[in-house]
Amino acid sequence: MYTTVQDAGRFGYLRYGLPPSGAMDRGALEMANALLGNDPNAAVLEATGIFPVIKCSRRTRLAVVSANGFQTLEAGAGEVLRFQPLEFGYRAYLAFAGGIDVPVVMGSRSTYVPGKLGGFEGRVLRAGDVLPIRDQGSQLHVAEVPGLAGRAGNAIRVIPGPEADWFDCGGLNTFLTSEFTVSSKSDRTGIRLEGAALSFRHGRQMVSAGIAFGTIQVPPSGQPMVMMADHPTTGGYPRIGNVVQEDLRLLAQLRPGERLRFRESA
Amino acid sequence: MQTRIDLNADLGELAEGSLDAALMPYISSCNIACAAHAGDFETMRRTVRLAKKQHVAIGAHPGYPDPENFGRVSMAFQTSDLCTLIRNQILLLKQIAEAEGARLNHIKLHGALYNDLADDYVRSLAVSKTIHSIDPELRFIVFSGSETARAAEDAGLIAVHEVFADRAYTADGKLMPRSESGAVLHEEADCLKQVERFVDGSAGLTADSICVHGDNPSAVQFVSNLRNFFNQRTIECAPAGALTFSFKPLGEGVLLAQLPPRIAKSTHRKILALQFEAKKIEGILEMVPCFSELKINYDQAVLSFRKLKQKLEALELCSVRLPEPRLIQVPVIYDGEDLSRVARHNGLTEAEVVRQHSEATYLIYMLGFSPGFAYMGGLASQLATPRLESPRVSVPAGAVGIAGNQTGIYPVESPGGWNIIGRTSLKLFDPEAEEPFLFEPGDEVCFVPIH
Repeated sequence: MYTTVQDAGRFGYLRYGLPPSGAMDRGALEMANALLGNDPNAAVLEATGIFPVIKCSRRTRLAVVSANGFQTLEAGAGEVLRFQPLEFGYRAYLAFAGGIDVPVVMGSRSTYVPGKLGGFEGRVLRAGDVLPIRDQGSQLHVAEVPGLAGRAGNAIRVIPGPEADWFDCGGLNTFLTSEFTVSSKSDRTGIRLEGAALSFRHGRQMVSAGIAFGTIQVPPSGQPMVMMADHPTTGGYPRIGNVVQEDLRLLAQLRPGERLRFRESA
Repeated sequence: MQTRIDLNADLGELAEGSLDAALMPYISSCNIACAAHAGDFETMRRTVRLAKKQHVAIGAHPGYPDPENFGRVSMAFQTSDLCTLIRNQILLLKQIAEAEGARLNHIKLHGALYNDLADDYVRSLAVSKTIHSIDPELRFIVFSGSETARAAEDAGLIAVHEVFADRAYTADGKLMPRSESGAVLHEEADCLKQVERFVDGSAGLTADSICVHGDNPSAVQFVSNLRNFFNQRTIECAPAGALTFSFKPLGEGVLLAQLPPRIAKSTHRKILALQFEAKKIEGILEMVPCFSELKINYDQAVLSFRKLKQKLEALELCSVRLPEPRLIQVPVIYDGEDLSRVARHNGLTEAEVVRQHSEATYLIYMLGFSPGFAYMGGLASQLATPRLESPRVSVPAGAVGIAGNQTGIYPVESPGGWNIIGRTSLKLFDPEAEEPFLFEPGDEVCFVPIH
């Protein structure tokens, strides 16, 4: 189980090397909070692959959003909630009316596990952890609810990156036409991809440069990796492209072993 | 592939009959002998006029005052005398250029003087300071990757890294001694192949400027061919060292303001100046200085890429006075488990490693990689040590290490392959503190040994 507390992210510290963190599927976070009338930045649980089993100590309203669908439900005091395994998609969001009330660290409740920072004790949740919920008695208020991530049936759209011209025609062509598999080594830092190696035009050395959520770096192995919510703020590999913001959630919902393609954003 | 390169040649070294005029149309910078190793008032004025007419950047080419040997033999001078000698030669050409309504753009040392200083940081620094005192805008054409290049940047000049099309290089970026076979490339095809590797980066050298010759008609023909070679690849031939930003998107909502990629103080200062001035622009969310680019996250509801680019281009950066850098003292207990390895690798005693490491002042170019990790420049080359063969599973926060030609401090406990030479009790990253990070890009750092 890899479940962490996340909100919309931690901002203002990129120049010190602190990743933004926050929900991998930002749309699902927004939806879960909107369903409960929460602040859009309220902290939720991000479950990866499988759901945690939850017991609510008192009557609680919650919302569940994944790539499969969404629902709101009300749990009675002492009730244990078990969820069906995800039919598809990889990350599910559990929001609670009022939001999870872990301390705000540097402006955010998001967990950054490698830095042991934020969230619940800066770590992945374990059985037995007890998390406080802010009780605001908020009203159910469904405003504009963003859509679901859906399945990555279509190719993920990319905008060419600053070093796109470092790749030869073959390399760029491979990038935009071949199929990649999500590696099991993927995590909140980045989605690592396996497939045909992308060939470089030159054996160039790069000096460390900026990275954003969605930047696709290509290390010498030629296997691209898409930098995600816990991305390092700088990196030393050529940046072949950037995933368009709307499509990042499609990536966040891909399981290890699933396949994807890229296409150039119109 | 680089998109711009300078072609420089040493001119004004002969009296009438030289091929200077034939060469001039093909080059972008010329280095004019200043009446010490060669030339006189007349050749200087004549060459300045030629260069001005052809829009070629004018540089002074000081050398040892030894015309018999054409400045090709080392001479022993006290550093201060050497600086005076160079200063006088530069001033002479500067006056002549200005009298002709031209501007002095750069300096390149000649012959034995160039070679003697390439490995001599201390004297290079003294000479660089002399040049800086004449005009801080002067570019300094130096042997690529040399100690002179490092000293020039430390003195506040822009170093223009020079490479040679017709000389073979060793793996560590030095020229192969002429005594070895294959040291000089005689075939034009071989020279062009080497130039190709300069511009595509595979030679592993910083190539701002290529030195070309015009001492015989076939040399001039080669330069003309070289010029065609660049034209075909849409590589612009122009004087080097202009720190001009280009702007690129990094996906949506992120703009990169880029300078030519390198780790240099002049580049760093320019990035910080842009960051400083850009704070005025409404709609900028965060700015991340990197070695050769400023990454700007902006609010897409307020700014578009085009609008932000226009606003950045309109900023006046020349007159920016950056605040004096902070000097942060980092107390270190030098008892790291790899101190002996660093000493052994460099043939030094442990005490000498500590002395050299704690004597230098380091510049923080950027932070990244992990929260609070500072990329610092300024490690003495005598302390460079390769990473550990197999990284440690865990290195504690505060560990001070050396890897390659870098030194750094682990801000958080993490795996790592650096040679650990000591530890500091200073917290580089404290999420609970009002200012969670100790370092900012642009800070200077020194290590203070404690016992």
